[in-house]
Amino acid sequence: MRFKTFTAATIAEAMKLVSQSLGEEAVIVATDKGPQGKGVRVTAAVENIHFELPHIPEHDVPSPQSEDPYDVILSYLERHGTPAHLANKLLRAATAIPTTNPKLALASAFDRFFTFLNITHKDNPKPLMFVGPPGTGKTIAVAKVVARAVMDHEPVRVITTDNLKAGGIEQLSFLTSIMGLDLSAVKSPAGLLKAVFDDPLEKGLIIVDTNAVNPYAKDELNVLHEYIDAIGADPILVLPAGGDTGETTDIASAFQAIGVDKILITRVDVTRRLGSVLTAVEQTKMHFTEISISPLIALGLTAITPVSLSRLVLSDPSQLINKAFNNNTK
Amino acid sequence: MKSNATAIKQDPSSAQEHVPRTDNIIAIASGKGGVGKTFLSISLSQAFSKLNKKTLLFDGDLGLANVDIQLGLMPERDLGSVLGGGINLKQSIIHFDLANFDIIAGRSGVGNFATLPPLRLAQLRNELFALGNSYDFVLVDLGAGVDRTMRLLSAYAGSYIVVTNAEPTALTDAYAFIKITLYEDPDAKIKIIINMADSHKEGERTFLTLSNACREFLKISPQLAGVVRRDKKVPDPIRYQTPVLTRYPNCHAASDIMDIAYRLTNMASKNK
Repeated sequence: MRFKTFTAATIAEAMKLVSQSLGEEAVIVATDKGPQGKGVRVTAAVENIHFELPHIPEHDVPSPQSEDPYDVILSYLERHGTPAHLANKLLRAATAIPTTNPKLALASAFDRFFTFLNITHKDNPKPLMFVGPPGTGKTIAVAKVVARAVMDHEPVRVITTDNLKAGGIEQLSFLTSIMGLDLSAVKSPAGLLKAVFDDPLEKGLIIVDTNAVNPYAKDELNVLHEYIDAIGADPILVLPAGGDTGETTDIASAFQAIGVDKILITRVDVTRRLGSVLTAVEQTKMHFTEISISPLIALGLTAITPVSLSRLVLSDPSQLINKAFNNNTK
Repeated sequence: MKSNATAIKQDPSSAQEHVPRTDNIIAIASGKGGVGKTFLSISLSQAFSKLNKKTLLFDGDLGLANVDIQLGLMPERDLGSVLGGGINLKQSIIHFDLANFDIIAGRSGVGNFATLPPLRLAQLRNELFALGNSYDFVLVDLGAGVDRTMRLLSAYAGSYIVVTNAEPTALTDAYAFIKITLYEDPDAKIKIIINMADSHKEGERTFLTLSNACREFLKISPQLAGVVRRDKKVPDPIRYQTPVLTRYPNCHAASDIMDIAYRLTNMASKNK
């Protein structure tokens, strides 16, 4: 059921608006005086109303017309806003295997120039620390990794250094409490060291959420560096897809400067262009790890491989996620 | 930590080998035009042949082919016949008796080869590299410039010989070619020939200018394949459409080119 409120000079005029907007089946659920006592305000409700959403065209993107697999690759890379120099580099590598399948050819090019790591592999004993600028989805990424471990019955400990953002601790604390886990909040690198080593986990994951860092503020980066060094953490940069190519690359470079060499891509479900991410990873030589393809905590962190990245890039944007990750979503 | 990069190799449908890098394929490039690239491609092919190395010269200047013009050939078969679908690449080979090496001629004046679709270019390159198994050396005379057609045609060559002279524009364009090649193919082997040098010493100075820029900005040290001195006798064989090693086998330029061939023969081994 959907509700909508109308304001008009008289009841009759308001009812006319209700009828025009919601149809004859609308039900009046409240009437009141209008703002500042003038006119009337009518709230109406209707079942199953469907708004006609406008089609949002893709701007300045060519549609692949050619049957030449390499033309197809180039068109899609261009569609994603990939700079020409990187598109040509990938194309050249794509011609190196004798296949006319564009997905395989592009996967082979990705395999040549990008590396792909599984961050939560059991042989990785280092605490995972999720870092990044504000608003990239660090806390949600942390919650997703934790949820996956919980569902796999793997021991996991969650620590946050996010003591600056209003509600930073509360958000994660709420999420961990649902999963029956405690959240340790620390205020300094020494506090983090103590939290990790005073009561060591024999096996399983230690996950650290951090407060957002301005990539262009050296003092903030330095503090983050101290946190990473204090526990010998495996830092993972959380960055969204769909940003400006130069900006995304600059941000990745700033974090790379303090030893961050892995990247987790978020917002892949709400963007249609991956060129900025491809460029940032190619420039910084960071390792791809996982991508986030859903806002739901229980869904949508998926390890990425050359083949799935190729599928993602060469998919129709409207079916991007389904096509790329069918049967592959945890 | 486990890499999941192996996923592609586990996918049976993708279990295909990369086109192997073929050591005996040498791409001759320049960046700037007019620095003597085609002249050197022809002369080096003849020099290899004099060293009993079976050599194929491929005119890869798809837009403005001119190996046939420099040699006064009127080939019945050329790349045009291959791309037209009449014959395969092997059938387009002609033997150049005068200098005893094989040639796949382009078709001069037909500019539309420069816009070949990338798939056709990659197939052409792979066919050429496969033909290379029957030769000691395959020289690919690339067009000037740094366009994509040319870069795809030469991708995965065993080495690139970049030809330049001392002119600042030629050096800048040579540097640009090296930079783009290394960006796209970080393992590429780059060698330099300084052409039209006033002396060996001056040529080596020019090489140092270029190699210093490469070392500083690209973090690589290209090899000097050799210096070819400016020689008044060179324009004459071009005008008479005869290779210099035939017309003036003892001139300065000819002897420099033979030196380079000796050096490359020792450096490059046939990959069979």
